[in-house]
Amino acid sequence: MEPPIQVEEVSKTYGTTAAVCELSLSVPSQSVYGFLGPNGAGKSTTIRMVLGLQRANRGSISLFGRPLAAERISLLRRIGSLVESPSLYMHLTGRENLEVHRRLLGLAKGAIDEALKTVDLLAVADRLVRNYSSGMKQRLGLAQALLGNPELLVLDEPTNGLDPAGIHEVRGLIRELPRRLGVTVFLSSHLLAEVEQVATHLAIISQGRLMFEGTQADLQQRSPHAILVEVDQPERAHALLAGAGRITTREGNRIRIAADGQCRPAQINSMLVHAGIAVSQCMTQHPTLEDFFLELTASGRARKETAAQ
Amino acid sequence: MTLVRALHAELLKIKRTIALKMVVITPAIFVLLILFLGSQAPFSFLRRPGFGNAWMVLANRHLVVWALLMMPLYITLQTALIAGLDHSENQWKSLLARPVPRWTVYVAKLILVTAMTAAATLVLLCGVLIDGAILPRLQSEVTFGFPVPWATIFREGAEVAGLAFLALTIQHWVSLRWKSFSVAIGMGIIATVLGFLATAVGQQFGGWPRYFPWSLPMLALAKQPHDIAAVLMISGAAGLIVAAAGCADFCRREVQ
Repeated sequence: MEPPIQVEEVSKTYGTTAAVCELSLSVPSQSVYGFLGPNGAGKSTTIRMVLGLQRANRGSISLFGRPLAAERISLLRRIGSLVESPSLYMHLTGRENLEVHRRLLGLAKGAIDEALKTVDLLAVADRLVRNYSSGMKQRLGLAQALLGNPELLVLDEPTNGLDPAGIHEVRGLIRELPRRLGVTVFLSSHLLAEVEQVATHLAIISQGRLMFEGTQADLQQRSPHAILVEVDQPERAHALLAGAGRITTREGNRIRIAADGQCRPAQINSMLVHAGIAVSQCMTQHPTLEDFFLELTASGRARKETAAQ
Repeated sequence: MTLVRALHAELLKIKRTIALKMVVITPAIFVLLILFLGSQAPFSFLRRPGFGNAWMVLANRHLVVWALLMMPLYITLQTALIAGLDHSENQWKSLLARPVPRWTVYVAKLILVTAMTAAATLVLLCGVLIDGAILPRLQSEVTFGFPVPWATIFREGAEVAGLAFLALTIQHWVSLRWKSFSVAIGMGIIATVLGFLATAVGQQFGGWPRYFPWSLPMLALAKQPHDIAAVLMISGAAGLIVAAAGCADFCRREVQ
C-alpha cells in the first residue's frame, strides 16, 4: 500500500531563511504519525506544503503515491485537515460551519450529523460558534476535518490553547480514529506527552531537518536504558561498579548505571549485596521521549550553529 | 459545477452579517435622506427653475449621489466585509485546503459582491418610486405625472451599476490581496474622492478624467452625449481583465 504521505528531499526558504531543509518523510498507512519539533522547527511549513497551501522550493511531495503538484484537487478530496486553531465563522452555528464545507465538497446532508456525532457535538450543533468553549471549537474543527470521511487526517497542534480536560478529549478522539474509521493521522505538535500517548510512529525535526523517523520502539533502541539503584553506601557502591567497568553517575544515595545488552538489574543487585551493600531500590529506567527530543533537537541546533560559523 | 458549489457556500457565509443587511439599509437610508431634502419647501430640488419631468428629476437626484458617492463607498465596504469573512481567523488555510479550485473561490466572491451591488441599486430604484408616491402628500404643489417612466429609470440605474463593475473588480482584488481592513477601506475612500474630482474636471473640461474607474458611473447620467453601450462594453471588458489578473494572483498566493 502506498504511504499516505511521502515527502522527498523537500526544502522551503522564506527569503534567505531556510524553514525546511531536504526533509524526507514516509507516513505509513493507518498510523498515528507524531511530527515533533520545537517552535519554529518547520512543522507548520511542512504541513502547509503537504496540504498544497505553500509550494516547496525543491523536492517532491506525493500523497497516496500520486504527485501533489499535479493532482492537488483529487488528492485533497481524500484529506481532512486542522491547521493550528480551527478556522470557524463565529457568526454561524456549528452546523452551519460544517454546511459551508459540505457545500464546497458536494457531500450529502447526512455527512454533517455523522461528523458532529463523531466529535460529540450534536447537542450543541445549532448554537452560534461564538458561544462555544475552546474545547468545543477545537472539536468542531476536527468535525470539519472529518467531513467526507477522509483517509488521511492532518492535524497541526490540535490541542493548542486547550485546558487539560480539552486536551484529554481531543487526545482520546485522535487515538480512536484509526481504529474506528481506518484513518491515518499525521499529528504535529510540540507537546511531547500528547504525542507519546497517541503516536505509533514518530518523526522529530529541528531547524528544518529530520533528526529521527521511526516507531517509538526504534527510538527506545537508539538510546540505551539505564539501571537505577538506591543503596546505603553510595561511595562504596560507586567504586565497586566503576571497578567492574560500569559507567556510573552518582546522585545522593542513588547511582545510575548506563546499561548495555548484558547488564541486568538482577546482576547489579547481586554484585552489591554480595559486597555487603544494602540495596533498597533497583530498577530499569527507560529514557523518555522528552530525553530523546531534547538530545536530538539540541544536536540539530548545534549543527546549525557549526554551519553558521 | 464547483463554481456553483463555491457560490452556494459563499451565500451561507453572509448569513447574519452586516454585509447582507447593508444591501437594504444603505439605499434605504439614502432614499429617506432624499425624501427629507425633497420635502423641504421652498428649498426643495423639485422647485428649481427649469424643472422637467418630476420622476426623472427625482430619479436623477437619487442616482447622481448614488453613482458619485454612495455606491463607491458601498462597494468599498462590501468587498472589504466579504473578504474579511475569510481573512478573520485565517479561514484560507481551511478553505484552500479543500478540493476546490482556487479560482472558484475568487469568482464566487466576485459574483456575490456584484449581485449585492445590483440588488442595492434595485432597492434604490424602488425607493425612487416610494419617494415619488410620498412627496406629493408632503408638498401639494409638486405633482408626479403618469405613466411613470419605468423603463428610463431602470435603464439609467442598470447603466450606473454596470459602469461600476471596473471599480468593483479593482476593489475586490485589493480586499482579497491584503488582510488589513484599513488597506481596502483607505484605498476605496481615496479612489472615491479622486472619482469626485475626476468627474468635476471631466464635466468642466472633458477628456480622460471622465473615464477614471470610479467616475465611470456618472457617464450614464452626464448631460454630454455618450455612446453608453460602448463605454459599458469597454469598462466591462477592462473589469474582466482586472478580475482575471486578481484571480491569477489569488491562485498563485501562498497561505501563511
